[in-house]
Amino acid sequence: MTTFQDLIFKLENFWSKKGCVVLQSYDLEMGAATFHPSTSLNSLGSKPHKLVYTQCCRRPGDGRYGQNPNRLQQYYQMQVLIKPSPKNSQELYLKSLNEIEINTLDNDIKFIEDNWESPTLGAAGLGWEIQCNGTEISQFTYFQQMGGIECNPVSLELTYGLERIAMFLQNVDSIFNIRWNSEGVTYGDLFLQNEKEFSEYNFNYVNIENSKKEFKQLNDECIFLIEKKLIRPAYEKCIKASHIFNLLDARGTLSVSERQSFILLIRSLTKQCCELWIEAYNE
Amino acid sequence: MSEYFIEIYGEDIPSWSQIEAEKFILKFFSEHMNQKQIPFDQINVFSSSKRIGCSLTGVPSIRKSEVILLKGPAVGSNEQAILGFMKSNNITNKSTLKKNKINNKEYFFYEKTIPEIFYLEIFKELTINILNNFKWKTSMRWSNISEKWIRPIKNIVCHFDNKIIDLSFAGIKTSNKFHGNTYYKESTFNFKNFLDYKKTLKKELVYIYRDERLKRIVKQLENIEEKNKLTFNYDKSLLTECANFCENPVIFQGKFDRKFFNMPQIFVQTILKEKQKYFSFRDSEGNLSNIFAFVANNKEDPTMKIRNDHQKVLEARLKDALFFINDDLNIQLYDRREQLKDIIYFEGLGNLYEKTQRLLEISKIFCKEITLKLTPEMKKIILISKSDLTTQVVNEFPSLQGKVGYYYASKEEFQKNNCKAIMEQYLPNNLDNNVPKLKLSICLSFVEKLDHIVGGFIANKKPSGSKDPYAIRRAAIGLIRVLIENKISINLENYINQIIGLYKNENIKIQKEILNFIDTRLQIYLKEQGYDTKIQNAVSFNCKNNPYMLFEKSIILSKISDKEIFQEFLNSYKRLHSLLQNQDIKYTSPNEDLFSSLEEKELLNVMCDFKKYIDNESDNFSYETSFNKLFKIHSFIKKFLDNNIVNVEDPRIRANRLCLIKHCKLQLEKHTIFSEML
Repeated sequence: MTTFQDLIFKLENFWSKKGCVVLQSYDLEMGAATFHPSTSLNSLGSKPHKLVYTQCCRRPGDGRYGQNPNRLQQYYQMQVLIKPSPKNSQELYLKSLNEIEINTLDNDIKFIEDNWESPTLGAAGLGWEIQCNGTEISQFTYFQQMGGIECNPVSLELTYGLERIAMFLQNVDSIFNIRWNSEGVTYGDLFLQNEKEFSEYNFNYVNIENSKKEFKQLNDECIFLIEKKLIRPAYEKCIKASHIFNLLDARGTLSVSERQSFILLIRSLTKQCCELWIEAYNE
Repeated sequence: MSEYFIEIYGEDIPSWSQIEAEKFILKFFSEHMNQKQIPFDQINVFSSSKRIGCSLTGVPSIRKSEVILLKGPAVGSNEQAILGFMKSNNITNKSTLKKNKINNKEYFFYEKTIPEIFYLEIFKELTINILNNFKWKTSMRWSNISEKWIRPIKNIVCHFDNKIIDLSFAGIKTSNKFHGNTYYKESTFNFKNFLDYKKTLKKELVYIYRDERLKRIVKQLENIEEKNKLTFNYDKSLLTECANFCENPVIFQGKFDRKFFNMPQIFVQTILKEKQKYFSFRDSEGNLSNIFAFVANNKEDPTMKIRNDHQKVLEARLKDALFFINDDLNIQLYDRREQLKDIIYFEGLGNLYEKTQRLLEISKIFCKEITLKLTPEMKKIILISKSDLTTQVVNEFPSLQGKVGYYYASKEEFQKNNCKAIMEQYLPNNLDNNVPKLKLSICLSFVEKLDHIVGGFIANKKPSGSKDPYAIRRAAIGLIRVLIENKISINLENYINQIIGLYKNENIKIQKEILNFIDTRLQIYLKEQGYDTKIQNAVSFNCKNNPYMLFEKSIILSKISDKEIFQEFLNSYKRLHSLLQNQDIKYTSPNEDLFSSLEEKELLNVMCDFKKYIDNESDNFSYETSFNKLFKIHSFIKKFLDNNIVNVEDPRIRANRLCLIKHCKLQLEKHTIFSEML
């Protein structure tokens, strides 16, 4: 039985052997692992990178008070970034599946077209969602653009949906029944209460006024930091602003035009950070 | 004879891009072979998830050198003409020109030698050209490669005349080796010729032709049909998509719990198709079966793991849908209208809440045309007609818009026939070709479409070329069909003006643009129905913006125009028409005092009667029977033309007779513009 933590170890180990630096989760709330500066900023410029990390992600709107067996407001993504994308990208990915005992002969693995876009990051990529026996288990993307800037060379970004894969491997019907370790600790033991409390908070108690103020402050600070050319701190403000936006969105309090203007603001700031990054670090 | 072959092999090509690629390759080689005058027997284009390519058979390896005789200017022509001929054919020495006689006249000739051409070089050029200029809708870069392709390329085989065409693209050098079905094992083979390539790949379970894969899928689906006494819900688009997922498509069968039939069958079928790409079946009574099928690469599933997993995924999807439905039902459709304020319709043109209000306003006018009395419930139905766009089910499955509204409204105990309007407002569409027949459905379908067309034009989202991202062209065709097939005779101009007013738009050009746009769609529609442009133009007087009237009159005229009596009438009309050609006369009413024959008087009398008849066209006016009147008038026209000379010496009489003819023509054209039929 592959436990949740074994799954992380095995994948980390696999990619570590392929030369990837094993990083840890970034210490900010983010909607997807792509926001981690090691992916977003490293995908820009010519410098090669190989890294893998597990990122804790938050999508406030996806919370279901722990009552839906397939949905969470906080979950884990394992992210691999390799720049330039290797020639045998697909083979490497399939080998990584073999490593966690998913092989193509016993399972129906399909690469279904999925062209990815992140409006707040101003990012776009082409690739596939990977389905295993009808379940989406990963995203496989060749980054074409980040912060509105063309990626050259192109990075390969692999995102493993760890909970989905663990459910598949352990043959369980609910995320909360995933065995986290071999001592009997389950995903539910660790996070069910977390889901209940955060769903309550996200949907009912996020202070709208304060959050909007916070968004404004983050925006101002980011502009200030961009002026000071402090790229990483400025980019962190974008990550934070993006999470505040997700919270407000989950509360359902943003009008259409307000929503659009929040997205455009974050995108514009991210773009400026990316441009500064290119200016400072592209060799 | 030689053979050209190319195979570009790589990472998984999206389903619809395979079809796009085949079309492009076929067009590219057909055009270039023609342009370069290279003979060939056959072109075979193929594609799968892993490869695209083509073979051209029966191509000569060289074009032998030949001498052609070029005819120049006549001997004795001026020097300029001779030098021009020499220059255009790269002739430097005049003494190389020969003289030959044609019909006793002597001309210069030049024997031009066309050198031998090795097609290998031409195919190399063509290959480089197609690889660099391939038109994908979206293409990408990868690694540090600057070239673009649909997905990363891993191998290129390119051959002509048993030789590798040596080139490189996207960092890949052409080779002699091709891949088998890598889903099963990594294996490569040497390319010999296309026939051997196909044979080898078949052995390796790679079916390069989509048709072949489709046949295999259909055959396997038929087995399921037979075993379970079911009928497969034929879906061409789903079949094609699935045939493009795998190089060796194998069908597996699954089953889901019948408890999910608590929700409408169309919901279940949509989840099967859109979310999971599963095939569905129906039983002998036409009900959806709980058996489904899916396509996979795997040769077998001995432990049933693949099947069980797919069943589990489907069950989770269906459970989700049930959850959404139950949750959606907590908020009534009327109360959802507030949320419509948050959904922008067209940028700058308000929201969907405002759209529903416009729909009601226009419906209040349109309902009279179809003798529909709008009850308070019907008005409410119109106002909630877009409310399902705020539901979770439509959010997850956009193609269910309308159907969800119908289902939820039925649960809220509106009358069933009224609820149907929410669903049928989108008819006709691609899937269901029928037009609505219930009055409220007709009304909502008409106003919804016209409002969409007008909104699209005001927001400047009108279709251009083959692009129609807002489905405005489709709305126009739908609108025309709703009117014609329900025999609704209305002038669209009034309705367009009303809607423009409701949009508070002041651009006066818009109305004309919209009318022209709908008119063009109508012309195409009528042409497809077999009524040519001549007929359409002929009947267009006074009914240009009335699609049904135009259609009806086209049918009648088309039928009558085959009759001998009509042809005779048209001949006389033609005579009138010809007499007026190139006449420089100021037309006035004919002066009876200048009439010198009985025929003139009689013709004017019948035409005056006809004028009264046509100008006061009553509700009982029948275009068909009115032809009888025309045919009666015909005898008077004929008598006049046969017994009177129009172009007489006396200019006053001549002018007066021309005025009489003009008068006739004007009145006749109020009925039908016969000049369009000449």
